[in-house]
Amino acid sequence: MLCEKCGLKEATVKLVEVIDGRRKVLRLCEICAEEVALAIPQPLVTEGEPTETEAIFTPGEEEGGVQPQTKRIIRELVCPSCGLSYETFLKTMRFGCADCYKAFRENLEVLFKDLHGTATYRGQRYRRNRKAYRLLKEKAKLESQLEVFIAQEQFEKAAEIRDRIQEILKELGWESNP
Amino acid sequence: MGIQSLIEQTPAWLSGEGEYPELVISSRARLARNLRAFHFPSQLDEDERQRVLEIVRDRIRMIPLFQDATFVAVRDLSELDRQFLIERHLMTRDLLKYADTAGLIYTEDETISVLINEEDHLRIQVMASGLALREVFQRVLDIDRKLGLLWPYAFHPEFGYLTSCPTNTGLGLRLSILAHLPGIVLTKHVDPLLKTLVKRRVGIRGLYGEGSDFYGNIFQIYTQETLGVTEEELLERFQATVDEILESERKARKILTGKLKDVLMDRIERARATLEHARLISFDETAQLVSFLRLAVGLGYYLDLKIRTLNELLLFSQPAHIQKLFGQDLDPRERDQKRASYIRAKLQAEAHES
Ligand SMILES: [Zn+2]
Ligand SMILES: [Zn+2]
Repeated sequence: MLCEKCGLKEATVKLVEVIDGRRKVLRLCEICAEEVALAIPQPLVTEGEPTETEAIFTPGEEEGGVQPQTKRIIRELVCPSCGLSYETFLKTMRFGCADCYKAFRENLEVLFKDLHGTATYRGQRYRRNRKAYRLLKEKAKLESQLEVFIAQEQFEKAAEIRDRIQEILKELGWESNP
Repeated sequence: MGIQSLIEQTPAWLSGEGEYPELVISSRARLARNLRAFHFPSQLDEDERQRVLEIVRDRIRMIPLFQDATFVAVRDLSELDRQFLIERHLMTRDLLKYADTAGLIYTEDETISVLINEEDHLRIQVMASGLALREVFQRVLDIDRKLGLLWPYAFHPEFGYLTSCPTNTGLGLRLSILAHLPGIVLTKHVDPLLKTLVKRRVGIRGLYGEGSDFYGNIFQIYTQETLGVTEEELLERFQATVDEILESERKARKILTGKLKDVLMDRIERARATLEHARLISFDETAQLVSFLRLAVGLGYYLDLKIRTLNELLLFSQPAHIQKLFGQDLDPRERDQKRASYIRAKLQAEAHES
């Protein structure tokens, strides 16, 4: 998602402006967020204290229109890809996308230590084998050709294709375990 | 194998084969995986989720194992069929969250199923009868290696496989067994068991998931670690924990067949008599009574009964199964009646055979 102010950079910050209990949400890039925050004389509440939101909605403030105007800004951590805020993540305990892991990264160590006793991954390494995928695509194509040749009773050609399919399975190392 | 014909077969993972089937009904391994190119299902709009569904549906056929597998779109399923597939462990209740864009693929023998657009894009599960943890573990990782060719997975070198829920982050792997532990229940050893499992980071719950009762003394016992261990270590530790649990179940059974033997035999004979003669029976009661028969078979009594038959009694006695068997929408009382007659017929047929 792009910054709502400049429209140029990725929005990595969610600013919640609270004026007399009304919330206005802005998704901004780091630079624009700084600018907006500086324009407001109230102390900036940083991402470490997202629960400040609750404190603002005290019944006294909402019911009584006579209180002096309050205006403050809450800065939240937001995933630039899917727009999920860290605050929402803490409530639902569900990430919104793979990039959330990067966006919330600094807070995750503690979370994972809490949940799993450690934050270190020790499992297998994944890397997609593109060559194997190309072989699979070729195999799929050969299989549809095979059907046609069999329907046309061109058995010699069909046999050739079957051989090539066997070769592919061998290359994939799948002959014995499809 | 369409849904209609499933009712005519017993899933391979309930065949009663494998190690210790009287103690461990089945073993399961499941993986949570996501496609790198899409946000997780909760952050996708309907069109994008539909796109994920189509990509998986179309590409998975490239893997020979899935060439003849059945694909089902959840939105095309009736209420009854949804319930039926949940009872059959082919899908989960969570798959209904995005019902319009969710799907599942299962192999003919029902040992492998892939859920699409549940909490994660993919949930891959492999099941087997009896205690067969290494078998399901190897099969699920083999399938994973193949599916990982079809699209790039969401993977981070530091955190491993990225999943919607942080409890799955890392390996995304969960191993579990469905264990039948009447000895531990009857000798009141459930609490110490629960305490041990918490220390080992192993979870336990009833047959129907979180908060469900321990119907028929059946427990789902599952791993919870996904960080800090390798796949192999997770398997070995869990295997050791399961061995210990089974050992305490065997000890408990020794107690039951010692001093308490007449009490136990009374309960067992009453259970069999009730199942053979009841005219109305609920699923709860069925599960409880079948548990005594399973215990009896495990102790070497009732040589005429097969574990497979007891598995079938449990599976087909569930509400949606009874309705599919008798091909109609039944109210609870009619269900109790049909269930009772199904069980009577089944036990009579078994007695004839032997
Ligand atoms: Zn900006
Ligand atoms: Zn995100």
